[in-house]
Amino acid sequence: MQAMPGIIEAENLSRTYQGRVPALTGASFQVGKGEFVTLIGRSGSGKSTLLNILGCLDHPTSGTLTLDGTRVDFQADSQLIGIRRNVIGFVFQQFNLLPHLTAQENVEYPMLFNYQPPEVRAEKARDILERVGLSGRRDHHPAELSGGEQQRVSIARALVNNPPIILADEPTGNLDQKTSEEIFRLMRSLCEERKTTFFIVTHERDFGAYADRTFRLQDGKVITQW
Amino acid sequence: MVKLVDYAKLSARQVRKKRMRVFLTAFGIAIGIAAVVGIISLGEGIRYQAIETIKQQSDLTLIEVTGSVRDGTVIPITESKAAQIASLPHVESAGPVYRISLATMRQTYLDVIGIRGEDFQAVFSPKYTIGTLYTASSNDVVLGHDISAKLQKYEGIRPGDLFTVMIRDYDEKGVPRDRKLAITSVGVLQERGDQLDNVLLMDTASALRMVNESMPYSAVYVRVDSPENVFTVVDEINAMGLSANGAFKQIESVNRLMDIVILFLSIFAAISLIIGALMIVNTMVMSVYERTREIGVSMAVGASQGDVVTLILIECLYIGAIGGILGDLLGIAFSFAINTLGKAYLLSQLGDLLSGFARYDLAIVTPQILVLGFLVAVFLSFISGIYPAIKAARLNPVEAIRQA
Repeated sequence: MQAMPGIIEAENLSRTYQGRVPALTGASFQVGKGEFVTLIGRSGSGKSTLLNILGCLDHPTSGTLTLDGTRVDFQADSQLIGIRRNVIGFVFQQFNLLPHLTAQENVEYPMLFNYQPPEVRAEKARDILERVGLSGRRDHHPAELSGGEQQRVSIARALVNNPPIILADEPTGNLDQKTSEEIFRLMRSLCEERKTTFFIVTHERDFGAYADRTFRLQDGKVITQW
Repeated sequence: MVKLVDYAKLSARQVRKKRMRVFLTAFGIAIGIAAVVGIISLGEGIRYQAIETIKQQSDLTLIEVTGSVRDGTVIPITESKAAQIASLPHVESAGPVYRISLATMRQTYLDVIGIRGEDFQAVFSPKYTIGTLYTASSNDVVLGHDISAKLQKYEGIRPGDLFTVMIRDYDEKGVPRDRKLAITSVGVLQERGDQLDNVLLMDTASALRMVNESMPYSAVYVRVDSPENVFTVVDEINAMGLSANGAFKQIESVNRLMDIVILFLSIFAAISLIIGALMIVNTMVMSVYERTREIGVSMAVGASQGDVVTLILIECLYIGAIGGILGDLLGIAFSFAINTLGKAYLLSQLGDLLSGFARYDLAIVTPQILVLGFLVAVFLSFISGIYPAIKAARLNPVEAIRQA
């Protein structure tokens, strides 16, 4: 046991879906505050399952999970909402921006459920969009933005509530090589600036270079790669 | 509250994004609302005309109070009850009366009302063709128009004549025995078109003297200060355990009839409202299905189930509000059509028969009907939104997001 508790502490996480091969069979690992971690593994190795559990969208069948000092594995859904609002930011492969909202509004969206007043929402969203380099694209709708730009908006949305942990599910899976590298560079610099923990699922080993550590998920268990 | 305003804005965008679909769905509700508004305003218009006609043709502010039987006990009109009635609010004047029966020597039956002269004047404001009112305690009588004509024609009794009448008593053994009495006709009423045309009127003391015994009043005639207050007075009288009769009963029947007619027609209109509501359910279920991923993402970024339900329900309220306003407008148009085309047709078909209708609108749209229509639309939409909203809130975010 480490003396310094990690921001993500997973112990023996298992997840079994009825009538299927277990997706996780005792995954244990720790991620420290401000760490940049990538997770690789073959498709079907349980990466998404693990990410969903870390994101409090799914419950582990057994094992314990502590996020930012809070045990979350046994919490009721209504309490997990608070965790999702304040502790976790999501970045998806498909960007998942709301098509009828502008970039600015998309970034403001999570703060709506956090009950922030409109002026605060607008200001925070402006700041973070500027940081990801999209000041000029604030009033554009997702359809008017390139893939890379959409993913930047999505990263801004994930960061806007200032969560200590960002979970990203193949964030560059839909982007070309050059844009992917830009996105990784952006995430890496955000991680260093804000001391935000990034936990990134990816199938591209190349980006391991950006990571402090890389985990590999094999047979439902996490193996630290390097 | 701030949160609700923000949600309302967000939902408004969803509504704006699907203008045509929202309009069509709202139109479904609107047709139902228009039908309800049209039917109620037509019903209320007909009710209004019927009541106006009754008010014009009959003596609405006159109430006849009689004793009643309650739980097998007769509740008589005592002196104190009569005084109580006279002192009720909105009662202008009240005249307690005795009803007795007499017969002429040639067996013409005479209905007699014994009423104090001043009460008679106050309650009935009588006009005389000949003569004047009887004096107190005399054996003088005033004849109604029709009975006077009858007596003159068949028995030669003219105004001013002294004539003999009989009253029937029964002795201890129940054997009838007729007593003879002499009375003088001192006045004849003008034709009124009501029950007074066929009665003899005399003072209360004279009536009691004729029957030769004391008895409770048969009735109290009450004059109410205005037609609007008739039902208030009737309620008071009923509360005293007495029954009330009069032209107002016709209004009650009209109201009862129209209530039933409006209710039944509204049931048909309600069917179209149900269809409208089902359209909303369908639209919203479809909308939730289309936005599955969006809802999943919202939950991932922190929307609770309650937030999702609120957002969907607000959207339904918008549809309902649009439908309500559209429905009210259509309802007004519908009523206008009835009042112009419909009335012209009716008058051409029925001619003079319904000339009274020409003065009024057939359908009367009141602000209350419009507010009611709007509220029904909003309420129905809210109800219709519950199922889709719960369906949306129950989505599993993981699966919702994965859905392409």
